Amino acid sequence: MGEYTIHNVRFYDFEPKAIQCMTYEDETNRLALSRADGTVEIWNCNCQSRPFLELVIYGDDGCSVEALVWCRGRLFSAGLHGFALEYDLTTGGIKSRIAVTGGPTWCLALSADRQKLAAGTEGGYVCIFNVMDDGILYNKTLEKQEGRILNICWHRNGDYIVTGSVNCIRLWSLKEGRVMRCSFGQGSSQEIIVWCVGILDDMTIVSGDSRGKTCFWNAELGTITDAVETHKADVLCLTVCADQKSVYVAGVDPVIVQISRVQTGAKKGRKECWVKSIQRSIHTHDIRALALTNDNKVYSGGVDTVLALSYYPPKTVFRFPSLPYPGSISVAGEAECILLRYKEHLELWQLGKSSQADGPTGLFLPISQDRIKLLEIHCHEDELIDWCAVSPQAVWIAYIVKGKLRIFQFYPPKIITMSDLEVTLESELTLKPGRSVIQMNSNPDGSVLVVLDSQHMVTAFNLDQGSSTTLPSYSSPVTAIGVHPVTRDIVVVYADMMIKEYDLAMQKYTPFCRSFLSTCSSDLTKRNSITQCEF
Amino acid sequence: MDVDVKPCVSVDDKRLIHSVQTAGGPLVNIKPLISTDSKFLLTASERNIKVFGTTTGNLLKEFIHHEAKVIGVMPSGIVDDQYVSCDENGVVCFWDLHNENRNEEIQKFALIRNEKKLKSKVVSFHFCAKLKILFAVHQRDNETQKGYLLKYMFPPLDTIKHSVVSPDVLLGPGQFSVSNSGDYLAHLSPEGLVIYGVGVKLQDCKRRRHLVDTRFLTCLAFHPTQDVIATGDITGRIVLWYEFASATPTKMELHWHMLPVVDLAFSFTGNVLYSGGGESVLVKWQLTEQKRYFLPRLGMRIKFIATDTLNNYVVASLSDNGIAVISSKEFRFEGIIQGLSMNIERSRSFPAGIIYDPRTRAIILNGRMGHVQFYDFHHSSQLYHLDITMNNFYTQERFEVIQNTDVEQVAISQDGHWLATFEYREDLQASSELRLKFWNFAKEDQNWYLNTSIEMPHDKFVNGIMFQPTPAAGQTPLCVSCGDDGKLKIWKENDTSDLYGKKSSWGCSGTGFYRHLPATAICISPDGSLIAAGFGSILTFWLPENCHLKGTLSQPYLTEKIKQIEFGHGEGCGSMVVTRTENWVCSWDLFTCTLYWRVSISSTCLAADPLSSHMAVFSKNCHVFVFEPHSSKLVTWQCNIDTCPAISAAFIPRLQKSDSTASWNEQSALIYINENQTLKTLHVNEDSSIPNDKIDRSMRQLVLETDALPAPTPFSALIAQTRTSYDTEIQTQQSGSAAFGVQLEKSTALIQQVLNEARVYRIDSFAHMTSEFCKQIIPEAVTSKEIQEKEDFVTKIKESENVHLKTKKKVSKRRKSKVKSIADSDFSDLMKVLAI
Repeated sequence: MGEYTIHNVRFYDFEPKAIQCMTYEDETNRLALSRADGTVEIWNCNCQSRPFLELVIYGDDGCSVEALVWCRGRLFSAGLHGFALEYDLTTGGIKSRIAVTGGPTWCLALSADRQKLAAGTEGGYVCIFNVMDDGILYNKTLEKQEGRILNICWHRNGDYIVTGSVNCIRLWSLKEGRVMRCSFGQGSSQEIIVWCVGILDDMTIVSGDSRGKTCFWNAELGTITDAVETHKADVLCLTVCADQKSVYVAGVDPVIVQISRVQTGAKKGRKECWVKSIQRSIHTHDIRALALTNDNKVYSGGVDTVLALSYYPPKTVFRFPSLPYPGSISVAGEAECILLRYKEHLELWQLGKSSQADGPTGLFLPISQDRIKLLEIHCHEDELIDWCAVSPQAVWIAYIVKGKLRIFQFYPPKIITMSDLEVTLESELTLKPGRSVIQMNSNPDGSVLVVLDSQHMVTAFNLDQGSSTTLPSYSSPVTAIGVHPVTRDIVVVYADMMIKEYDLAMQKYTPFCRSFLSTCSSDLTKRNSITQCEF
Repeated sequence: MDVDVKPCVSVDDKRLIHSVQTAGGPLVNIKPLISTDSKFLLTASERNIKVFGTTTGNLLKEFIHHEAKVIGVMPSGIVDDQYVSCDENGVVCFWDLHNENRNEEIQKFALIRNEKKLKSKVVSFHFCAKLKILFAVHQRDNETQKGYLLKYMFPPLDTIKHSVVSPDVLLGPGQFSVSNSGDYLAHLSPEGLVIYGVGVKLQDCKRRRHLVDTRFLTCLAFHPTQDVIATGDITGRIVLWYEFASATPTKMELHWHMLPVVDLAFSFTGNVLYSGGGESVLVKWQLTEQKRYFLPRLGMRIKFIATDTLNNYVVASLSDNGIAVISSKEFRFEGIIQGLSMNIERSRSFPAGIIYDPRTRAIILNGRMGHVQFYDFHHSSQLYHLDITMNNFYTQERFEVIQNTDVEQVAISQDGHWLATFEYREDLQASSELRLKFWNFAKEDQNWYLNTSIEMPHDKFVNGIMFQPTPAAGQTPLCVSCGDDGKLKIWKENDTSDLYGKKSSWGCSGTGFYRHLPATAICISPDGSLIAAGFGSILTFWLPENCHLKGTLSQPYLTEKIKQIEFGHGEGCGSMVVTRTENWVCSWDLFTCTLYWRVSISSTCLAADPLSSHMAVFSKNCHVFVFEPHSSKLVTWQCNIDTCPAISAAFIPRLQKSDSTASWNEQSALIYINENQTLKTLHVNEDSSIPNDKIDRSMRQLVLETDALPAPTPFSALIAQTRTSYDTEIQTQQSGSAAFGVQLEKSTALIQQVLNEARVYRIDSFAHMTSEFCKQIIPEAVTSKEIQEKEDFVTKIKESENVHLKTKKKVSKRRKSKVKSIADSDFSDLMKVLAI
């Protein structure tokens, strides 16, 4: 092993954002979550217990994502802007948008046959859309009701919709065009906000409200059959298990509570009731969103910005803290500089130096020369920086604003944009059709470029010779790629922590890779995934 | 020098000595039981089953059906008021709570019939009336953790058939249970919870195991109506297992306890779960509303919790040998049934031993942690508790043992006015705490007051303290203490009066040490003139006034530490000193300064009679030897008086002379406490034919039951007497006025009622009672008096009329007689007169 001096960068003021909503699709094993700044993250959960961030769809100012729904690998969202959106998961952009009657939309729900999408709005309208192949189409709007609709849920047979509002739950029959109101009664003057609803196949409505109670209703009669006091404060989200035997609820008390339907009573007096079962304390702050897989794994997230995966048995908890997105940090290796991306500006820092050269492992070296801020580049107002990179000698800085590339040059200092005449397109490389670039890396002299595309294929372009090579595929998706500066070997890191080294000249895996790297390194715990690799 | 090495037995005394358990035994070794009418509380102490009144807290009955230690009592479920009890030897007994006289109704079965493979103790049992099956847990040989669960069919034909249900049941109470429906049996094993479907066919017992990782389960309870099991574990968590018969049960957690949950009990309807443990807090879990209520400060660790069918009471057995009675509706502490107070948990129980208080004629013992109790041995009642350490009882923590300060030595002066206590705390982390306290008894308000508290009286543990039995005239007695730091200290009361008033405090007036040996035992001669102290194996004598060493006695072959010293009393023994070491009892003569005799006995304690010259020594193998110091000849002896050795013994002067013919037992009774913390007394039995301490009656009726609630208070007895006397009075004197008598009867009934309902521990204010009483009796009594006056008046009038009539009649009669006499007369007189 070589010796390294590790810089502990503590001056990057990274602000993780709260998780707003979450949705999971079992067919594609993708988890979509939105954060408070309108960013949507797509997590690939194919690999057992090791989901990794696959795609980030950046939001802009005024963008809000209040609800997310998967439909056969397509992702729909709705927010307070009053539109239902479909995302393009290959480009990371918006494919189509349609206005929702009733303005700001709080919730979305997909029918069990995945033909229809229902949206609940601030104005009290429920809008129903048809999901078509090329987008969504307005179908109808249900009768307007008093109060905002905070949560919405479809019954399995598609005839009923349950919505949660302030002080009441409504059951909408689509066939009969009838609305039934399940009221909490006028007992207390304090209003009860129903934050989340669900409906079981046997027409039992589940609701979580601001009193911290999870209530089970008989939908035919509109009466409460069981009320379980699961939390001390508001219950914000709930999910129903696939077997309809238990419900997970979470809320302002950061505990996820499983409520199970049990048979009690001796043989004669059989009786069913819902009891508070196991509870999990994973989060430190409000839990805003829960997502459940078919095999009862619970994804949860909230104000503490951590995505957590938990399941039982065996009792397992994984926590995935929010990290800076790719393209946020770039290191100039030779100049010992670091480029940090903020929302609207970039900072280039000269790292601190130590006079002491070596010492035992784990020694904290005293700093002789403090860090220096070399440069700060600001954009115009309402421009957000998506990506940034710095050259090894810290001579060039490249960054992307609103999909456009800008390059900063130190000597003489100036910003070059793509429209400038100095810029000429040198060459154009093409991938197979229908694929987009997820990740790129090259060696310092720029002779080899490796590209990871949206189909998880790694293609290496030799820019000197103009040839391209596709690396052998592997069962697990790729999380990071790198090129060795000298040998031009390509290093690929997979989601199951497999690291492979590919010899580009010989077109095969290197002997070192075969002998040593074929076994997973024990240092790398099975919980993490590698997001970037550099030499 | 007369040295006998072996105990010499006097064969002429054939009378047998046996030990009888007095009231002082642990009441909290089995789960208490409340009878179906909530009036009685049943528990067992050793082999006696005791019945207490729940309202009064008084001991009402005592059943002695068993020969061995009773391990449990439960209702049979067949007939009302029929109960099943089982003892260690496997004898199961069905008996009735009320038909005490009919011995034939008691059914006894022996589970173990000299079978070799099951020659083991029964640890717990459960009788299922519905299935007529008795389950019993037998301790495995040489195993203290696990036992066999066996199933016995009832009623037995010739032999009781049994079959093994489970081989690994955790031993201890509350480790297995059968559901009320009789469908399931659950028990705890070292790995977790094991459930058997009992069902109708007993052969196909379906077994289901739910493993718990390291959260070992401690107790278990079945829901009375639903198929729900509650378990408690060592981390203090309570888990309710729903659908426990399936492979993936639904578990509901209730977590408040920090220490292990010790016992759980459902209310009769199952809406409420009670739990308790080392925090000495009873927790009430309202299961339907998911709320919990607490009843804190019960004083001591909770050992068992029991509920009743009428939902009137919850009782919690506490580890200080008290049973707290709690009303379940109000969830309020109602009272305590307190036996001889003790600390069940402590391995070294009663470290201060038995001390006789001559003033109250009570014995002083360690009570609750940090307290001493005054226990009236003659009436088997606790007089009072005295808080010595004045500390709150610290409950334990999960990962740390918290030491509480306890009283280690107690001494009382001969007149009973001074009490010296030594308390000690050593947790091996902080420096050890030693405190010697002197308490003064105030005659004015009959209370003990702390006079002096001396921090660190010795540098190390104090081995003994004693007051001078006969002090110098007009002076308070001296107090002597000795400790492991090799010091002998004399404490004296000093006058510290100032202008604010008369005061006194105790201070050290002299210190003695000898060869840097630890001072292990101490005693002062009965006349108070000489202190004997044991320094290691050397017996030394000191003058109390100036702490001068007078002399030493030792023998080179006696190398053991002296553990106890007693001066001889009575004739011929005044010059004798008896010492006890681990394996020797030696008698020394102070005139000749020689060893008089010595006997090899592995002894545990030595007791001297203050009224005679007798002494008694208890050996490790439970023999008792009574001797006089001037002779190595035994007065009497008895082998195997008990199953476990005595830890402390004392001669207690009797209130009246015993009918016992043995001279040594005449004036004083010999009592002792054994390692099972049972207070026992030794009886000399005249009739040697009775082999052991069988008592002819199997039941001791302690008080008569009245039709109303049984309340044998002294007041009620008083009332009963006055009533009969009134009755006779009425009959003899006031036969005329029946109303007065009726009224009196009513009022006495009221008093009776008031006194019956009154609890000893919570009596209404007297003013309230008397006003109620007066209301009842006075207006009626006035009217009856008026009636009587009226009647009297009428009778007087009648009488006067009669008199009138009579006088009238008399007058008329007289007149008539006069007339007649006149008529009848022959006028001779007149004639005479006329003639003259």
